[in-house]
Amino acid sequence: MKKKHIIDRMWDIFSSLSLSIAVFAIIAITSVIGSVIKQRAAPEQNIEILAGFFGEFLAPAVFGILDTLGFTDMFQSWWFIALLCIFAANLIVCSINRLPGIWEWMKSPIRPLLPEHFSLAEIKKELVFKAGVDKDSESIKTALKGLGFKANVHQGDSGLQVYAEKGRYSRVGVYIAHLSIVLILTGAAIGSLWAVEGIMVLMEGKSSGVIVTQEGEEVQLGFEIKCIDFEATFFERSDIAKSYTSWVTLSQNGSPIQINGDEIIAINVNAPLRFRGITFLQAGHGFIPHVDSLFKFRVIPNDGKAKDVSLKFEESFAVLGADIIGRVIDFSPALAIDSKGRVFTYADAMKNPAALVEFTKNGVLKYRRWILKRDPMSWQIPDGIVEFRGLWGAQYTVLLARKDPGIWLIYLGCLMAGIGLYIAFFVSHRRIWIRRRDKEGSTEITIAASTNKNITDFERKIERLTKGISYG
Amino acid sequence: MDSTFFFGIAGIAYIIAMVTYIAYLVFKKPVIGVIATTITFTGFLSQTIAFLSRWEELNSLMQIGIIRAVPLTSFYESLGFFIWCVILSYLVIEWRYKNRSFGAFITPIAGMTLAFIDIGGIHDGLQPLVPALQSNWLLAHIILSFIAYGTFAIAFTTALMYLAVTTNDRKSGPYIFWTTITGLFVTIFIALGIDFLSFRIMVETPAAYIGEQLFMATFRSDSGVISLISYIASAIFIFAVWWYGYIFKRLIESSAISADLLDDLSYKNIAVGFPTFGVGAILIGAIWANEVWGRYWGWDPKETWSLITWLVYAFYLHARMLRGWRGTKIAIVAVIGFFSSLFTWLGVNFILGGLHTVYG
Repeated sequence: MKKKHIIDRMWDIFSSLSLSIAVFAIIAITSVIGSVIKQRAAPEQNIEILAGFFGEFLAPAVFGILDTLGFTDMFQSWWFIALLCIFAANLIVCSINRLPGIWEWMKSPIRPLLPEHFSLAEIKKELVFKAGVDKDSESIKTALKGLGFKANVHQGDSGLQVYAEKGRYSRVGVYIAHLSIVLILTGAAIGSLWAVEGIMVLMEGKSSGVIVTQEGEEVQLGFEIKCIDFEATFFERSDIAKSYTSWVTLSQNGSPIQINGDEIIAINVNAPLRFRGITFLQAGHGFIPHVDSLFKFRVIPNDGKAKDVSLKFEESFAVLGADIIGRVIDFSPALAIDSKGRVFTYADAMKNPAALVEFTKNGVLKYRRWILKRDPMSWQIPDGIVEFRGLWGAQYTVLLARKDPGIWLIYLGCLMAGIGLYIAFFVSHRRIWIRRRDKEGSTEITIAASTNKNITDFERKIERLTKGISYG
Repeated sequence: MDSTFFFGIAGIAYIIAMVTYIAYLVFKKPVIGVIATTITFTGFLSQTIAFLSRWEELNSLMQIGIIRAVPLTSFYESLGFFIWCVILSYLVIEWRYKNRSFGAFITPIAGMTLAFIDIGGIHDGLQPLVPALQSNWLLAHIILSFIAYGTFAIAFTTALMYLAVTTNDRKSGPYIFWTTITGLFVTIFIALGIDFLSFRIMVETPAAYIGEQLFMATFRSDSGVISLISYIASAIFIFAVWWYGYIFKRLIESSAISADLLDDLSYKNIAVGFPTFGVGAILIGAIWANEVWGRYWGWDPKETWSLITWLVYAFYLHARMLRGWRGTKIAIVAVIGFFSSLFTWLGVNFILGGLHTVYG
């Protein structure tokens, strides 16, 4: 026996289905372990999880083994990456091997069926009519057209043949689906090698041109982002967030940059900003009050026009009438009232901001009011309306910035996978041959057909076709 | 009349339909079959109305656009929609195969899920969507994922039926496999039901659920006696399923369902579920994750498990189409696939946690 060359042997291994099936199984089983073991977590956490399976006594030892094998950071481990590479190589080799076969299908349209093959067909039907019944090629063609087939006619020695096919291209579906996985894996590889990701934390009113990666490295963006405002809104009468929005402006060397004609851009959860290949996502927010934060009010006196004011803590604003002065003397980011009517702060986050405003007339205290941003009822005071529009300069937004050169391969791969899977599973290649033979005293019509999937549906259609031919 | 009213009607209809289908299987009177189908269809229509009106309710509550207000994100809505998908797939099968006997085997899936919702006291209030979920991708992602879960559930049922029909010998591996799996499935289900009956409320976090509730009323009860009784009762139950398994075989055989048809149905459902799951759950999920979390894949438990499920079914398809696996071996893969999907759908949320807060 001639010994095969090493490359041929490798090729055989990578083109084998056993390898694919083994890789499916190994990736699946190791992933189960990887999903149970908390990845990149503190050892104690995982030992506790393992204690549930193996008991307190064995857990540390089991953890030691799993840690050594890389299961605690499994999806980045060399052997898991190697598994994915084998998976990709397997796909590529299988695809190359299949190419000639696919090509053969694609370039060879249906031909008339040899007489001896009629009896071998997957689906067979025989119809016999009395001689003289007119079943010409036109009526058969019309019947086929009813099923969406475009028919060809062939007049041979053995009789008249009308034949047609549909969905020949669907043979390529499986191929596209497999190649799409290679594309996605390639995109992921490019991403893991060259993607840059970091965060930017911006106080309201502050700007920055630097993002910080997970490793603590600073990356210059080449332009600056300024947070004009951060806003969280909530569903009515609840603390369930409705939206988180960062209002930002961009600039380079001091000159503003517009995007689609807008200077101020909103970054929302689910609506990131894309600029120069970098995606900025709304990733978090927080609240740090300090002396420079500004309380914003809109004041409408009983007799006057609306006026916006902003002031610092304990500063006064004289706007209601001529001699009434307001002054913020307390603030709560999340104000609530208990059953006894006492106010208290129930959260550290700005869920229900409220300012306690003291109103004086000629230095004499008139009244104090808690004015809540989310409660218009609280804006009503005897001398007019004071709307609390929020505390500005006290919140910060966290933006996640990511530049991934592989993302377009991922998108392309997803699109191809969608198309490929659809064709591979929902479009079938159907072929049908109908032969008419005139015999003494009768006309014989033989139908042969084949399909590469969903045979029951095709059989049902052919049933309809025979009815069409019989009575048409 | 709000959505829960119509859902209630649908629930009652499905339970009656389940009983009627079983009666049809036993008595073989065509008229009973027609009644069963009518009831199922009525229930399905009612649930569709419930779904649409709940959509409108959520839309008017949230005011973030009708596309984004699809009511499929709470545990209650998720379970309900799963039932809807199973019933829809079942009605399609009944219509395509002109065989009503399957109803007796598939409507119990709906019945069990409904019982779970009811005795579990699953919270059925409207829950507004947090910003991360407010996306146009949500609709496609969840609906396609659930259609896939529905088809996988049916493939699971037909695979178990296949094993029941083709095995005779109580000592053979496949027989033991299908009876144990069925017994275990029902046992776990009953134990969960007892949990919910005893505690009445769903705890908030997965960790709290496992720590404080899971099997606490039965196997993990503080009382050693209850715990022991639970184990003995389930052992007896599984033993009974094993011992009397042949009754299922006779029932199926008597209803003109052939082993080949069951094998074929399992395959067809997976052939629809696999690409649907691949596109809807994994690809659309990845694209959405990139929009909202800034990465398309992060080995979050939900992502990892959806990949595991997909690989199991990829295994199924390759073994079947290229290796010619048929019958027992492939039916066992279909059963494993459904357990994997069930874990992807619910197990991940309750046990592993992660970023994915929606029950989908």
